[in-house]
Amino acid sequence: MVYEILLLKAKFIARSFAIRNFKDFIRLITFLFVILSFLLGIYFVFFKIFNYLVCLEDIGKGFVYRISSILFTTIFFLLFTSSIITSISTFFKTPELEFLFSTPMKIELIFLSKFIDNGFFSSWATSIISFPLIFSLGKVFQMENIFIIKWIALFILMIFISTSIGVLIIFLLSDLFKKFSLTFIVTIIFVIIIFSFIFFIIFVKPEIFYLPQNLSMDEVNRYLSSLEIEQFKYLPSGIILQIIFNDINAKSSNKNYFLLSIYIIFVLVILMFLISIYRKKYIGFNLVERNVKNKRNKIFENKIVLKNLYLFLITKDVIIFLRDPSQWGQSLIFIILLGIYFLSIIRSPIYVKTSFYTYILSFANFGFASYIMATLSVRFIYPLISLEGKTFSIIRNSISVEKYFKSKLIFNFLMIFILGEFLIVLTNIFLKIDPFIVLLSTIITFIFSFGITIINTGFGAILPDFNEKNPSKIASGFGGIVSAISSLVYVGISLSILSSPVKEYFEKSFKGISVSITNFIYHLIVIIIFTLLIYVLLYILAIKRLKTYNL
Amino acid sequence: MEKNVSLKIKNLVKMYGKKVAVNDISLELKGGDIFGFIGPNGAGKTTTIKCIAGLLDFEKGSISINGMDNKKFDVNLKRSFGYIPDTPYLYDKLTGREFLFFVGRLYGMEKEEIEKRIDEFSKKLEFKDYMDLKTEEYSHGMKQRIIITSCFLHSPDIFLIDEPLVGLDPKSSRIVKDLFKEFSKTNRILFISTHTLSLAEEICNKIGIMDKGKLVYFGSIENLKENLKKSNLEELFLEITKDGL
Ligand SMILES: Nc1ncnc2c1ncn2[C@@H]1O[C@H](COP(=O)(O)OP(=O)(O)OP(=O)(O)O)[C@@H](O)[C@H]1O
Ligand SMILES: [Mg+2]
Repeated sequence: MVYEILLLKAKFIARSFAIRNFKDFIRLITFLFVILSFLLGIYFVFFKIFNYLVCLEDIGKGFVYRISSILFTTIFFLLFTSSIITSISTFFKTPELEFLFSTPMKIELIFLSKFIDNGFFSSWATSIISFPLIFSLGKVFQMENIFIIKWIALFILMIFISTSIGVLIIFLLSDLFKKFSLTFIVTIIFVIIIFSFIFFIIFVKPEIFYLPQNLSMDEVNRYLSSLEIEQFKYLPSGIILQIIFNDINAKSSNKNYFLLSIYIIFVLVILMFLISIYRKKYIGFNLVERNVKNKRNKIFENKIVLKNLYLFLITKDVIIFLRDPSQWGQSLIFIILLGIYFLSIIRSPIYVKTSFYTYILSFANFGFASYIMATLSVRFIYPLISLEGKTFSIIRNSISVEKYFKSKLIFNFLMIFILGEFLIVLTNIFLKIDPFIVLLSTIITFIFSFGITIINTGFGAILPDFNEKNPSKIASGFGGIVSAISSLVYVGISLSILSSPVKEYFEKSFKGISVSITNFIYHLIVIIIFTLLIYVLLYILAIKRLKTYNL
Repeated sequence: MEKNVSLKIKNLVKMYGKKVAVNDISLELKGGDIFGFIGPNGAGKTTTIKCIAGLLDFEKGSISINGMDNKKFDVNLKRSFGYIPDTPYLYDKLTGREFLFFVGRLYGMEKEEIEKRIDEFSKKLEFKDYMDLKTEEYSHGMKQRIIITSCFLHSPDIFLIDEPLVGLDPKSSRIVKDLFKEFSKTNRILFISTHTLSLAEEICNKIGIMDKGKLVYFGSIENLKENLKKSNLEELFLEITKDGL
């Protein structure tokens, strides 16, 4: 039966690549071309940065190590988070499950097949960044290919570990969602967040707060090398990174392999446990926010809402979102993990006020925040139109497609914008970045939110999947991957347009030379025009496509 | 020796949170029974069927199939079921034939046997012409025919069928009804939830009427008609469930 299930999965994949006519062929080629050039692009970016750093005399290698360590930790948390985000739908809500559970198929197999799905759904967005990253590390340090292959294998192991832990958490939490009401859980979570922040600030006292500002470059370097290198070195990401750097430095990593095997044993035990409770969890699973009092809800009858079509459509989306505990539950978990990211940023001793570090850092942080915005939109925004399913025909026949599309744009923009600003402003405050750069980041986040929204909403309309109900699966399909890559490419291009004036700004302000703002403004204008072009193009295409669907 | 086919439900209670969906129902069926499970929308029919099929946990009571408790997973137990849900699932990237093959293999059938059965049913239910198309291209009734076949394919002891005739044209529903009758002669249980009262009247020997979670009547149609002095099932149905309206 294992064989049957695998064969089935293989068939699905093969079918989605099936070439029946010339159009399919073009589609496939475009798809492969887009992915390939994206991977290559990311590879070259990392390669250039690392290569540049490695050439910086003594600190170069250490610096590459630190940057990779932040990247790896982040990647680990992202993998873990997206596993949480995808697993409720994959393990409990997919319609396929009812079919599988009614057959004599063994529970191990059902679990395995869903586990593979979940691993893929939750990791592809991170992998398309991580594989080129690992390759570029290998190439910069001129390692043999066999090492790179080994590292990739280790990375896949990391996906395995993080996915399993994510699934474990959802299995444990699923009861929580069943027993308590929305308001209760939200309150508890906020209380926990606030308390842990206070606790952290008062008791843990990050070293960075004691570091004298404005040290010379030499002193900074000495300080950095004296510090314990990494906070998260016992996470799988830390262990694997150490193995990679031990390989680069031709050192042995026995200790790390040992730790890794402990993780694997631990995860295997977890998986056995999960398999043993899966059937019981599944048949007991019921995620419906119950309106116990069965009271009439008057939001839709509100005069203001009724009068304004946009507001009306947006209200509908918000209500649907809030009434689906798996959706908001996942967003809550995501927010908690962002909290962890903030903590890790504060605790990292890399942040010191010199022009060079701040430049790299503010850019890295900004890139990261945009990356989060992009991947999140693929998961939460791109599927929105597909999720209308058959009801879309009602919408199309009753109101103008333009108005419908605009209402989606407004809603999505607000979500992404608020999240993005929250990320950027908060991290910047912690990083104590220059007020001017904070202002600049705020403006750019505004522009990016706009761009990312139109890309994901646009592709949501151009390449929808009205038949699928699982948002993670929709996001992992052809359209999802195209829109993820387009968002990332968009962010990448915009950031590289911006990199030269920012660098100049830091160099000049470090030397005390006053900086002219006009240069920034020119570059910003270029980015705005670029964004507007994308907007116009995707808007026209999306409207055209939305008008053609016949469900 | 003839196998002892039976389905026993004892004091089944199923709650969704605080809402009682199935309220303490008990019934017993044996091989040869065709049971028509009727009741207004939201009465709890689908919920009961899902509990029997082992897809929903329930709070109280017990369900035993051929003498085995259905709370424990057992391959033989699952093999003795054929279940058609109210919203059936088909892999839309598979063809009808492939889907049937897949199901057959899941139930441990051999290749030749599956082929034979597919051949037989494709003639009976007339889906030969399109069974090699992907199911995403099917109409509702075309899907329904494949689903019904998938349920009959492995000849289970107990059929649990939620709304079997929805979307079928008159000819195919005739064929399906005949299939049901034919199968019931071979020591099997057919548990059919339906709103098509004529179906129940025509082929069922036992009837259960469910209303607001309770099984308000269980027995043969004749008894019921005599008791209430009504000549057809529709009038009976309306009479029994009228307080609910
Ligand atoms: N997932 C669920 N969560 C909460 N309540 C549910 C759920 N599914 C069904 N119910 C409730 O359980 C009761 C029984 O529903 P069920 O689907 O069994 O009815 P039914 O008899 O099959 O109706 P129909 O004839 O419309 O198919 C209904 O009152 C319904 O509101
Ligand atoms: Mg029903």
